[in-house]
Amino acid sequence: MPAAVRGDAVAFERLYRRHAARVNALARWLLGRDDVDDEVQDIFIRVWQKLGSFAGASAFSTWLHRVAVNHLIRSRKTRRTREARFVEPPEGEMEVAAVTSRPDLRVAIERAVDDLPGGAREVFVLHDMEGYKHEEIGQLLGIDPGTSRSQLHRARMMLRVALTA
Amino acid sequence: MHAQWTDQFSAYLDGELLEAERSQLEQHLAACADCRRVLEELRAVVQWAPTFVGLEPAHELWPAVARGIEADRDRPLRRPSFSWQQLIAASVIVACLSGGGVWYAVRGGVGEVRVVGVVDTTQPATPFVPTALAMPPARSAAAYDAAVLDLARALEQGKGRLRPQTREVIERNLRVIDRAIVESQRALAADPGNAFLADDVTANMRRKLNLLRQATRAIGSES
Repeated sequence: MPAAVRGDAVAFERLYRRHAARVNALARWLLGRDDVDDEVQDIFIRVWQKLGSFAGASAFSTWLHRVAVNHLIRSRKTRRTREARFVEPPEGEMEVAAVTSRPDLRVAIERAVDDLPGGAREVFVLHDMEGYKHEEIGQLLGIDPGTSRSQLHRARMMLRVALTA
Repeated sequence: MHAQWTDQFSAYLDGELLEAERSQLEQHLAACADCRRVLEELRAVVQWAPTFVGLEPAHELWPAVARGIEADRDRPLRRPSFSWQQLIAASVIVACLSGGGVWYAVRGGVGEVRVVGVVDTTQPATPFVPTALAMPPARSAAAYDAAVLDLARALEQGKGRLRPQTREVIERNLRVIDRAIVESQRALAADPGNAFLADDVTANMRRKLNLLRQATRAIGSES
C-alpha cells in the first residue's frame, strides 16, 4: 500500500490483480449487465486518484469496495436518467435458473445471482456481500429500508435453491 | 413450508426480530423439521456471500487502467484538499516532529562517533521521543530548521579541512537523506494518519541532524 500511495504503478497493479475479480462482480451485479469493462477500468483509475485519501481507518478492500459502489450507483443513476423515456419492463417473478444439472456449485451460485431480479440482486450484493445496512441501501438506491429487507429475503430464498442443489 | 414463519427467517438470521417474535419462531422451529431445513439453507446463503471471491473480468483490463493512470499523472497537479480532521492530525504530527527534532538537536546524544564514510540506515535509531508533551513550547519547527542551518553552515565553512573522500561521502549522504525527507513528507501529506509514514519522516530528519553533527565533529578532529 505505501508504495502505491507514493505513485508506484507496479504496486498499484498488484492491488488491481488482487481486487479486480470482486470489483468486476460488483459492477456486473449492481449494473445488471455483462459489458462492464469500462466501468471496472474507471473504478480503478478513480481508486488510483483517491489513494492519497485512504486513511487506513478500515481495511483497504472495504475502502476500495465503497469507492466502487459509489461509482457504480452514480453510473446506474445516470444510465437510468438517460433511459427514463423508455418504459422498463415490469420486474418478473423470475425463477432462479435450474442449477441441479450444474456440476460446479460455485458457478451455479454465480449464475443464480446473475438471474436474480434486479432489485433483489442489488440489495443482496450490497447487504450480504458488502455489509451495507438497510438504511444505507435505502439511501443509495432510493428505496425504503423496509423494501430493502423484503428484497433481501426474496433474494436469499431464491439463492438457497442453487446453494443446496 | 410455512410462509408465515419462513417470511421471518431473514430478519431472524440478521437479529432483527423482537424478543417475543424470536421466541415464537424458535418454538415453531423446534417442532417443524421442514422449516428448520429451510432456515439452514438460508443460513448457508448468508454465510457464502461474504466469502465470494469475484468474477474475473472477461478481458485483460490492466493495460487500459495503466494508460488511464499514466494520463492522470500527466495532468496538472490538483490542489490537495483535506478535511478539518486531517488538517488537525497533520498539525499535531508536524508539532511532534518539530519538537522532537529540536529536542534531539539540543540534547545531542551520539557521543564521540566519528564519520567513517557511510551512513548506515539499517542500524537501529538512537532513542528518540517525538512527543510534543515533552517539548518546551518555544521549541518549534523554526528552531529545528535553525539548528540544521547552523550545523550546515559550520560544515560549509569547515569542509575545506576535511579529506576529499570524507567530504564526498558526507555530501552524497546528505543528498540521499534530503531526497528521502522530501519523499516521506510528500507521502505523509497525502496520508496524514499513516503512522509508518510519520515514523519515516521522523527517522529521516533525525538522520540528517545526526549526519550534520558527526560531520562538524569530523572537521574538528581532522583539522
